[in-house]
Amino acid sequence: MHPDQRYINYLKQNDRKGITEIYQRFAGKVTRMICHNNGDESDAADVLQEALVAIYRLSADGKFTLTCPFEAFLITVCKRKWLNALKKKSISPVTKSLDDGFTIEQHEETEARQYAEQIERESTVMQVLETMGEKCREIIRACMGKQHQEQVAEQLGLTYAYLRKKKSECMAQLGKLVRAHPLFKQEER
Amino acid sequence: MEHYFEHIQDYLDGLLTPEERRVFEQELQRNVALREETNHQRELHAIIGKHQRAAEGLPALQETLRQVSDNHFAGRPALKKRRMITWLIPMAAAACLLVAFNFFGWFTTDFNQLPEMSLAVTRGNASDTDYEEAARAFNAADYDSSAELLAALVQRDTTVIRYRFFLGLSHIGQQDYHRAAAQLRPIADGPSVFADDARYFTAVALWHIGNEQQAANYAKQVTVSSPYYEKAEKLLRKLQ
Repeated sequence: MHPDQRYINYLKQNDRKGITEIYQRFAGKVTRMICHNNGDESDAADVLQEALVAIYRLSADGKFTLTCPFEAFLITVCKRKWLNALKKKSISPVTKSLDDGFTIEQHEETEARQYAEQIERESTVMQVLETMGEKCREIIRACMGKQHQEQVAEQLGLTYAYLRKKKSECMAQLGKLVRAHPLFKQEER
Repeated sequence: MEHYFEHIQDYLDGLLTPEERRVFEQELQRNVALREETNHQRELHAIIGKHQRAAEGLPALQETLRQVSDNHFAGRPALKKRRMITWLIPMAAAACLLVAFNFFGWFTTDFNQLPEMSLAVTRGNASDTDYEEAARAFNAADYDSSAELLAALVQRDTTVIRYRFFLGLSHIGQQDYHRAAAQLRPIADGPSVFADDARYFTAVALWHIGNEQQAANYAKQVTVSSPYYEKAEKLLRKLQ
């Protein structure tokens, strides 16, 4: 585990002092990167906030262990988020200066990129779930909660057998939709 | 083959008997497609479960991030000056249009908008027919009828939270906010799958009653995984 795991813990524990430290140490670098690439300070503030939320979500199950410096991880996530934002706005990034001012070792970059890819993977699954019908979303969300599924069935006014059958169908449909997404298709090739 | 695919969810949820589990795992060893699909489903389970857990703490974290970000960026010299003048004129024109449209209520949020009530309920008893009738009335915005039918269903079986939730929503449709709050509040305070959505509608009912402090408390508790999260945030801004 990298000593920078403490930054992850600050997010998990909603530690205001620790989060302030994250901003003091890294916000300037994120801002410079974005301002050199067709953005401004408010874009940097948005990207940084989104990146920190994404990192919090990634680590929410308590299993995530950081093995590279937090800076490399955070900058990689911010960079990818900003490149996506530019793509949406149809603006070509000045890619050279995206890496200016950062000294990220090759192996650290690889690890940071893998974490960032995992964030994108997870966010894709959640986006695909949102595109499903209301009934399936309701059943999947309810079944993935903390409650026992017999209780869930009772609360939803369904028989337990029907809930199980529906959950199975909905999860199979979700699985198909996720596999058909370009991000997952790419990986299968 | 298909038979085993049906068992993936039961396997992942730990619901197979030891014998069924043994047979399934044997099949997993030799069936590549089943193994791939099981791994894929395992990943989906883990991701959705994790994001649901994350949603619980997210509103508080987002509030901290917003405050720290505002403090951090406030008062710093901007690294890139915005071309204010270029933007000012079209922005001012757009703002005027927005004000004009808003005057007619075109952009106002309808906080009272109710969801559709699903028709499919299979309990296999007489209540199904009454429930379907209530759902049809509710979806046709005939809230007097849906409230009456759902009240009867609740009396018959208090364990089905869906009945109680839609009874509360029917009261919102009737603009009977006191009864709506009385019906929805216990659901909002409980652990059921309807708790999150009930928090939003409890906030709406309390807001209409004029109990703004408590309405804000309930709106704050709506988590990001709820389809009403954004509306709850808007309501919160309105209340504050």
